[in-house]
Amino acid sequence: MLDGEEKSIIERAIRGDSSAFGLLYDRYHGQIYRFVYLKVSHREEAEDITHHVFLNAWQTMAGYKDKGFPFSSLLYQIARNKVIDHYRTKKSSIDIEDLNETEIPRNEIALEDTIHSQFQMETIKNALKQMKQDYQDIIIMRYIEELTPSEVAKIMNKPEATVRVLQHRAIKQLRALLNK
Amino acid sequence: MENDIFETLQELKRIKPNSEYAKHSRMLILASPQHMIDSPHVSTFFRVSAMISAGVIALVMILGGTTYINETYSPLALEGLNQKSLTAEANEINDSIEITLETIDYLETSNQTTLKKITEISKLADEPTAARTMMMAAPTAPEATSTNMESFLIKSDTTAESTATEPPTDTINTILDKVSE
Repeated sequence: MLDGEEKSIIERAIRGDSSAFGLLYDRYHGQIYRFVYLKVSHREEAEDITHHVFLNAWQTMAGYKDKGFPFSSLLYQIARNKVIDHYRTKKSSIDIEDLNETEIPRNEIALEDTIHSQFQMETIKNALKQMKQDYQDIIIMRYIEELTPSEVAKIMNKPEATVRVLQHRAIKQLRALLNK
Repeated sequence: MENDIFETLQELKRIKPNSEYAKHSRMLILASPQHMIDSPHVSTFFRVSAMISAGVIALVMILGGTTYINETYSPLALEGLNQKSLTAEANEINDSIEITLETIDYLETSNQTTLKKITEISKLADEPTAARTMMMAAPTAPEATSTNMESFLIKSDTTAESTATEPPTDTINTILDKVSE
C-alpha cells in the first residue's frame, strides 16, 4: 500500500467508512498481533488485546489527525498502553517472572516448526520476556517489524537519540541473556 | 552468534494470528459504531464562549479585589485621612456650634424680657401703696347717714379723679395683661 493510497484510506475511515478501516485492519493486524503476542506470550490474551487495539482505533478514528507518521504508529501506541494495562490488572494474581513458564499454544508450535531452529526461537522468546518493557518494544519494533528509529521514537514518545541508546542497551542485554 | 540473533528475530516475524479469530474480530469491529466527534464549528463556538466568559469573570474578580483592597487596606482608608469622614465630622461640629449659638441667643432674649417684666411689676407694686396712703388721708364722715354717705362718695370720687397719684384703670389692665402673658 502506497503512502498516498493509505492517506486516502485513512481519510475515508475518518469519515466513518468501515470498509476503509477494514483495509487498514488487514494491513496491520498481523504485526500488531505479533507485537502483543511476544509481550504477553499467551495466544488468547494476545488475541483479546489485539481485538481491543483495533476496536479502540476504529472508535476514535473520527479524531485522528495525520502528523506525517504511518498509521501503524497509532496502533502500536494503543497496543503498548493495552499491554501495560493488561499487566497492571494481572500483576496482583500472576508474577511477571512466571510468564517464562507460559505454555506455547499448539498452533504457534506448528507454525514455528517451519523455522530452522525452534530451539533458538524459544530461547529468544524467553530472553525477551525477561527484559524491560522498553527493551522488548525496541527489539520487536526495530528487528522484527523493521520500523525506522524515528517511527519507534514516535510510538514510544521518546527522542530518536534516546531510542538509539535504548536499542544498543537492549541488544546488549539480549546477547547477555542468550549467553547465560 | 550475532547474526543468528538477528536471523532468529526476523524469523519471529512468521508468527501470525489464527485466521478464524482474525475474521471474527474484524467483523465485530467493523459492525461496532464509530464514536462521532462534535462538529468543529460547534466546538469552536463553545471554546470561544468559554474563553470570553472566563475572561469576564477574571476581570470582575480583579476589579472587585482591587476596590476591596483599596477600601480596606489603603492608607487613604484611615479615619483621619478619609475625606468623607472628615467632611461629616466638620458638618457635625458646625451643627453643634449653631445649636449652641441659638441657645445663647434664646437665653439672652429671655433674660432681657424677664428683667423688663420684673421692673414693670415692681413699678406697679409701688403704685397701689400710694393710692392707699391717699385714701387714708381723705376726710372722715361725721355721721353714717345715707345722704352724708352719698355726698362723701361723690366728694371722694372727685377727689380721687383729681388726685394724680391714683393709677388709671387702663394702665392696670395693660399691666395685668402683660403679667398674664
